[in-house]
Amino acid sequence: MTNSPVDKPDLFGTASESVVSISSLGGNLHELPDVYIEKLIHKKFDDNPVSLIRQLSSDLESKERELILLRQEKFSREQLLIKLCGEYGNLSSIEIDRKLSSLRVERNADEVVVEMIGSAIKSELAQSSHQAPSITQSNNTSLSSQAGGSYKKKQAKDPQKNSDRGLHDREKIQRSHSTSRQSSTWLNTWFNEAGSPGAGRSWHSHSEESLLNMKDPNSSTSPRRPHSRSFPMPVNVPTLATRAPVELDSIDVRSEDLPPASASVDKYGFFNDIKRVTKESSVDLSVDPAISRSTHITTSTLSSDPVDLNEPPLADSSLELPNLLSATHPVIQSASIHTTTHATALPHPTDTSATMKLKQISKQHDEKTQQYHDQWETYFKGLLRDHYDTPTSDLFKDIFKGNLVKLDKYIHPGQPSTLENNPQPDSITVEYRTLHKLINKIGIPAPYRPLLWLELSHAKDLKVPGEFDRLVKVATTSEDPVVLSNLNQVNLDLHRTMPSNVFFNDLINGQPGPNYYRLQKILYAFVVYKSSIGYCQGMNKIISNLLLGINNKLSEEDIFWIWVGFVDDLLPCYTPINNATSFPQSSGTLSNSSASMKSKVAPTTSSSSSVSIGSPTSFFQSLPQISIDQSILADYFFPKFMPQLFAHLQRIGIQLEYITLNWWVSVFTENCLPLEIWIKVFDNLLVSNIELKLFSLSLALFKNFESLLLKIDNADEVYLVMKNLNQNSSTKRNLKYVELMEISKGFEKKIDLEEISRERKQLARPLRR
Amino acid sequence: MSGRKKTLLKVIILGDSGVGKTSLMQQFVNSKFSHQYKATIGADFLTKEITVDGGKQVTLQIWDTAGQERFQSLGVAFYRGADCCVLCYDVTNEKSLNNLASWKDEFLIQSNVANPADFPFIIIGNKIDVDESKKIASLQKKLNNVTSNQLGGLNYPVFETSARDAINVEPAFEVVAKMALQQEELNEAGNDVSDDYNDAINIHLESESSSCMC
Repeated sequence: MTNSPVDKPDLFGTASESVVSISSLGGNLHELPDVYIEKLIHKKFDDNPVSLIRQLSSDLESKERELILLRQEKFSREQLLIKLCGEYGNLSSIEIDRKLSSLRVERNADEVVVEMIGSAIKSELAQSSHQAPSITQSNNTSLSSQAGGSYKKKQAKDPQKNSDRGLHDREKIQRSHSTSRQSSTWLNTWFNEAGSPGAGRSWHSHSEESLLNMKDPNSSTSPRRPHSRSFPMPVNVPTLATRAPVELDSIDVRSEDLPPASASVDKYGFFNDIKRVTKESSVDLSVDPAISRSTHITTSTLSSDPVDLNEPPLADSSLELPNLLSATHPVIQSASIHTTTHATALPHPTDTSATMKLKQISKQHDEKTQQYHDQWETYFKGLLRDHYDTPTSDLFKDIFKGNLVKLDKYIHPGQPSTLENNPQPDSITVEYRTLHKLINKIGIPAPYRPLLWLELSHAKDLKVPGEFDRLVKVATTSEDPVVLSNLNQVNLDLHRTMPSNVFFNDLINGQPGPNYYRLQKILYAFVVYKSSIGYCQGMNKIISNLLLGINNKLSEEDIFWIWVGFVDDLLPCYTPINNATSFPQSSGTLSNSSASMKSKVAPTTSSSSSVSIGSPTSFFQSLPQISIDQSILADYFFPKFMPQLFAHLQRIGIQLEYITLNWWVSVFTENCLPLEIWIKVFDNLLVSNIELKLFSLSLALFKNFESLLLKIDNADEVYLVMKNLNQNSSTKRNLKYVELMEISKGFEKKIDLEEISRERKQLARPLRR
Repeated sequence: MSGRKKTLLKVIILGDSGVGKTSLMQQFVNSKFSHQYKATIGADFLTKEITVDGGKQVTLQIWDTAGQERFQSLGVAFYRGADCCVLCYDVTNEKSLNNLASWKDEFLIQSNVANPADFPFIIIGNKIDVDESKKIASLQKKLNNVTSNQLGGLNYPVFETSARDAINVEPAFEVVAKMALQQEELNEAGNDVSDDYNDAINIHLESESSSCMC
């Protein structure tokens, strides 16, 4: 990183330098006395005023051109900023619009920016600049340039944008220098808890952090880099403290490179290195684990997604510029320079009313976020106090040392699905309910996620040290035809999984990304481990979402076991229908490791066709049955709960199962939920009755867009909307985790599992089509 | 009969995983090719309006399906109401050619079409842009075996295409549209009832011929 932040007080690239190309003529001809001009013409232009005019004119033209380029540049940056605001801040474009226009001032924009940044640097960065060398040292430029998904490609192409790097540096400095300040973003607080030393949680709460975060997706990965330097560890061991850039170090990790699981994994399933990191960092954590000030700016949707900054920025195509925004906001367009510069320069503590407003908003949001954080903390404290007499001051030390795993039986008393129906009046249920409630409200905060995933998916119990590596090895040498045909399909699909994500497909270097190999190993191992289930298209999508969502805080081994637990214990099982029309399935009995399955098996009675009852099949072996469920969803629940929408869609000829079936077989990943929401939905699935949730969430997604759909009179358009929910920026914006969960909860209260199995019985006959 | 309403023709593309079904559909509908298509999960479709048979406007609804075998069991949901079926193989992959017959059989079972014997199919061999050396050895002979009435029984029009280089894609789908339109008109003529009862009416109209080698 060559650009020191102090040298570059320009938020918008090297613009000022390129513009100020003062020609030999000097700029002040008009102020000179006529005599001098005449002399000039005589000396330099051979008494020919025409050539002077020519030169002036051509200078003017080139400056004009530069100006236009500059405007375009700023406009495109603004577009990105707006998009990021929308994505991470849950702001509607109207709100952003309003804020931006409230920020406009009459003064010359560049002047204001330079001034603001100048004083910002003086007041905040100068004091910490001495840290810069050591920090930037650890930040490999090429790595950071690899980290940002498709966005970084743009960046690489455009040298002007290099100053963004300067921003990163500045941000990093701010982060590492944080102990001297007060409060931090949600992201940093969480992250600090999860494993950074030194970086306290007390920063001054300012919107600058979040704005910077929003401005550049890279910034959410790079800040972690500095921390990792304190903990030298094997590159291919995913750690809490490292994120994307480090992971890219291990880009060519192959199965044989991985250390044997037993060597680095303790009995709780944690990497020893992770434990070490967290232990050290917990010194800092005990200071004040509660503070979590997010500067993440939201208004009306304060409650929705406060942890979004934690989430990985790299979902499929999530980084494309929204053309919708540019089309719908002429105001912003016309005022691009002004608005952009001021939106970005905001962090400077000026006393404008806009700044106050933003501060207010961010404060409001901080409080909300704080509330959630407190609730989580209270929850864990309560658990520890009631059941373990653990001094609460060591709470986080305990959690990250792995003591929480002892809480397993309290968190997960066996049968989550039956809890709702048969409430047991003991404290265990109460605590489970609290957890459920918390997850419903907000999802699992990122630092707890690895741990709770391992808990709630049963991965911790399932995991056998060393087994994963063995399975991968077995897969690579297997000659079993069933395994081979599955592996064939896996191989066909690997390069077709998230091809637009740099972690899967490193287009820059023309090779697969690290997650490609991680996904490969997980699928290989799974195909061997559960050869009766094998590989089913859709798994690739779900697992790759898990890999991205957990942000390399869990190894592929852990993800594998989480996946096994999810498929085996949590996803619903079906009773096979062996009627003549169903495609021969790879038969084989499942080792049902969980008792909870039994409650989920839908009884099927024999009827006119050759329906027989067999042992339950896994979700991914039950495509015909899943297809039947789509009919129940479309023909039974839909008219029951949304009669108006149903009638409308019916009228224009929509086949709902065309939409919902893909949602189901990909568990809402395929063209459905954006990653940052999906990851929370996955949190939720771990404590939900998934069978019910598949129905209720499908209904909720339609309910969520009900008013929009009612306005559409064209079947193609409805398909277009509902089959591209996470592709289309306008629908994406309107998906909110909290709202979706509320709506689906509402449906769940009205849906009876008995009802579902009754309908299944009816439809298990030769399909009435 | 179908004049008053815009005719919607449903076309299903079937074939082994990776033969290029998505690419074919994208090339035909959007005239583009990408090396980065995702594996198709479940099924998806795109629509395109074209003109066939001297000025008749039709909307082709082209269904791109997952190639993995187990997804065939979803055919009941997706194949319903199909007017034409495209059987797709990869000219570099012999297995995909040999699987055409089972794709056809499975389609007929799943779709429950009224007149299976006369249902219009078309065969597309994709990826002809690849090196000759990579292609199936003595492809023509093997293809003849598959399409001969005696051996493979898939006596349907065959097109060799390259979705990458947009070779022959358009002509193939024009034939698809023509065949689908015929099928649709047949269905409309014989079956006004909705498809609630698939066993109800089994029409045998002799005029339908799907075996025109083009």
